[in-house]
Formats: sequence, C-alpha cells, structure tokens
Amino acid sequence: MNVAPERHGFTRGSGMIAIAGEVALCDPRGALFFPDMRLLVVSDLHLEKGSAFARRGRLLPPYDTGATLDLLDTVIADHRPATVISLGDSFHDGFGAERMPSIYRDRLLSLMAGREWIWVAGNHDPDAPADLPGVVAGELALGDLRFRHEPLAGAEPGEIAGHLHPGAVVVQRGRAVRRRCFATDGERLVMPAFGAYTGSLNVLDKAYQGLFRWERFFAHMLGTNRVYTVAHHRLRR
Amino acid sequence: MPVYAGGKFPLSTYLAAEVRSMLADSERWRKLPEQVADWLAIQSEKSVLPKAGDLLVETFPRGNRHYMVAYPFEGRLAHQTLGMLLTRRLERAGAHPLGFVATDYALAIWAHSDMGALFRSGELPLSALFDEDMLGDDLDAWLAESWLLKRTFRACAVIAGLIEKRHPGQEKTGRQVTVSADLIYDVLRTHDPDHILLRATRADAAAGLLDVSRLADMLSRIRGRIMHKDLDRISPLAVPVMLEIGKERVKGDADEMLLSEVEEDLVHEAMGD
Repeated sequence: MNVAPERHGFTRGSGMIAIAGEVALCDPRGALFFPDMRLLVVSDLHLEKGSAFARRGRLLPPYDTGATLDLLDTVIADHRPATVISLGDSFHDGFGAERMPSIYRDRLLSLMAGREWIWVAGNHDPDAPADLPGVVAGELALGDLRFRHEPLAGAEPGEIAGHLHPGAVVVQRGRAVRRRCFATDGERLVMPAFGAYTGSLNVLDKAYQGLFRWERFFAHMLGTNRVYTVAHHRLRR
Repeated sequence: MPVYAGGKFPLSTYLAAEVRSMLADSERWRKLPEQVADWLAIQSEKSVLPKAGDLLVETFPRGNRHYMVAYPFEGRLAHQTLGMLLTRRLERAGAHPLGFVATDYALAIWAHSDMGALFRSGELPLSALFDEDMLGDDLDAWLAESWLLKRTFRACAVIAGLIEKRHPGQEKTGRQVTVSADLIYDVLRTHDPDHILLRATRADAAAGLLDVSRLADMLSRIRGRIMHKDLDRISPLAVPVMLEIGKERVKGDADEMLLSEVEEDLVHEAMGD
C-alpha cells in the first residue's frame, strides 16, 4: 500500500511505490521500473505519430520519434533493465514500424539489443511491429502482475495498464499545475504516456470511473527531477 | 498618465521623459488635477517619488506573496521584455518568481520569496539584477525557451493551418488526439531551429513583444541610479499596476514548489498532524 509511504520505509520523493505487493519505482520521465525483476515498463510511445498525421494531410514536424527515443535511451541507460515491456500503442498506427526511418529503427534496435523486449498490443497497433525483434503479446502475466494496454473495469489486483494517458491537476495558492502522472490505488496502476506528442487526460474524467478505489487513490505527478505524490481529494479538473 | 484611444502604443521617449520630470518636480503637480496631485503627495509620504533620471524599485509583501514594482516609464513593450528577463534572473537567484505584469509606466513582479530581503542583504544587488548584460545571453536563452515565444508560435501555427484554434464552448472530446502547439514548438526547436515557422515566430516577437533597443537605452540610463524602497505595504503609485495583475505567469521552479507543498499537506494528513 502506498497510503503513507514513509511508514513502509520509502522516503518521500523517491518515487517508490508498491503495486499488489511488488515494489516499483516511478521514474519522473514517465517509466515504471521494478528493481527486483529488473523490469522496465513504458506505455503509449506513439512512435511515428507525426508521420501518421502527415499521411492524413496534417503536416506535423516528423521529429517526435527521435525525441521519444532520446528519452527512452536515457531511462534505459539509468536503469539497465533486463526486460522492457512497451505497454501498447508503441506505434501510432499499424504501419508505424514500417514507416520508421532507418536512423530511428537502428536506434531502437540498439536499445533493444541484449535485453528481452515485449510489445504488448494496443488499440493503435494491434499487430506485431513489422520487422522488429521482440515478443508480441496481447496481455502478459508476471507473478501477481498483469500487463495489458486497456485497463478493465473491475480487473484483478496487480493490473498495470496504459491507454488513458493520465494527467492530474492541483491548485495551490491560486495556481493550477498540470502534469502527467502515474495513477494508482496500490492495487492497480495506469501508466502515463511516454511519447513526445502525447497529451494527457485528467484522472477525474469519467473514463477512469470504476478503475480505482478512490479513497486510496494517488496521482504520482511527474516533476522535473522527481515525482510528487498527491491524494485524490487534492486533485482538480 | 497620458492615455490614447486604444491605449496600446508605447509612450514615446519624449513623453516618457516629460512624465518622469513632472513626477520629480512637486511644483508642477499644481497643474495636475487635484486628485492626481494628492495621489502623488501621498506617494512621496508613504514611499518616495524618483528623481527624473532615477529608477524607483519598491518591494512589499501582500497576501502570501512578495511583490516588486519598478517604474521605468519606458512603455509596455520594453517593460514586458524587462519583466521576462528579470524573472529569469530572479528564478536563478532562487526567488521563485510567479509572474509579472507590465503597463506603460511600471512593471510588477511577484514571487514566493522575499525579494526585498534579497536586495537588502546584498545576496542579489539591484545593480546586478538590472545589469545591461541581461540583453546578451539571457535574452538569447530566454528567446530560445520562452513561453511567450511559444504563444507567438501558436498564432503562426494556426495561420499556417498546422493546428486549429479551439473556440469557447467547444469541448475537448475524449483523449487528446490533437497535438499541442507547445509540443510541436519544442520538437521543431530541437531538430529544425531554422524552420520557417520559427523564423516567423521570432520576427513577430521582435516586432510585437520586445522593444529591445529602448530597453537597452533605459538600462544604461539607470546604471548606478536605482533607488530601492522596502515597504510594509503597497504604495499609492503601485496601485494601478497591481490592478493589472493576473495576466502573465512564469513557468519554472515555482510550479515544482507548489507540487511539493501539496505533497507536504498529504504527509501531514497521513501522520495525523
């Protein structure tokens, strides 16, 4: 439980939480790391979102993939995971991996080298990414943890999901601060979106109804160098 | 204060000099309407009125914030640029500036920390804060990451058809599939700094927002002539600019500090304090 992190030996601001009994670290860059399993989880990379829009006539700058990979590179370099789970919507559409320029493909391949890599299928990318190594899974179970892209209402404890792009707003001293966040009640967790072109949806939106026990809910909001843990009753729309 | 219909043109340099000399010379107040003369008299009693060539800087607390008001009388654009550069420096000095507002004759900055104490203790001398070197690196660095530039970029991006403007009443639907102009701006700045939209943004900003040359003249004029008045409360001269507050905000460490405060509350609750 992460009700009072200090009581469980976690120091404030360390980003350490427990999900269904597993200890995890909320990295302020938007990735979740399980030190015991050397497992890194990222969600909603939305690679090639810029070029996906371009295909439909909206010419957004096509550099988002590079920005996302740069960030992923720093996270992987810091945690050196043995396994990486990309929790769905890794590519913005089914042709993203095909369309990805070779410089980015090579960078992604070098990030994948020497570690196990699992692509969980998302609604944007239900099929395996073309020509890329790694295992493709619709859903994944590791111990008591369940990894799937879309959170299910009333799912079992231990579910780690993405899809919703959670964000949180607090108002303090008359000022609103909005950040992407890890959304969790200690039993299940929804990951923030990792991609450079991804927005966020307030955790108080009705899309989150039925997912959490709100009295135990915390938003771990992404700060510059650390995450900030905020209880449900302090959040605003 | 001179006001024109529309009120958006900055004071001319001549007019600004005339206003400054009028304020400095109590003999000339008699020609002003009675209320204005009274207002100035109360100002000289509660605080001080600057000599014609001097820059008056007042600091005072109000609510749970600390305010600094400077009266350069150089027009709104130059003040706005000055406000952006000063808040950068204050941020670096650890004063946690929250925002600023510029009018034609004054500039107000508000912060979490007591700026008056910083100036008094010599930790951040006013002469250093207002040093002309801010127009070098600080201006360049500010231009590179400015949220004001981002706002100008948004206008350019809308004109280019890159993004659509949301209108009041049009709700966001579901997850945000739209791409915010800020994200595009950051990506372009990193990968294509010479992009035509960024060039257009810089050109728009230089013309519309900066007035750098006038600011440079002002900074050299006031060197060694800054008068600091640390007050317990707002001065009469500060009232008009304080009424404008709520227009601009600074993004930076202050946001992180607010998040930290909210988190602190949570710890107290959890511990039953």
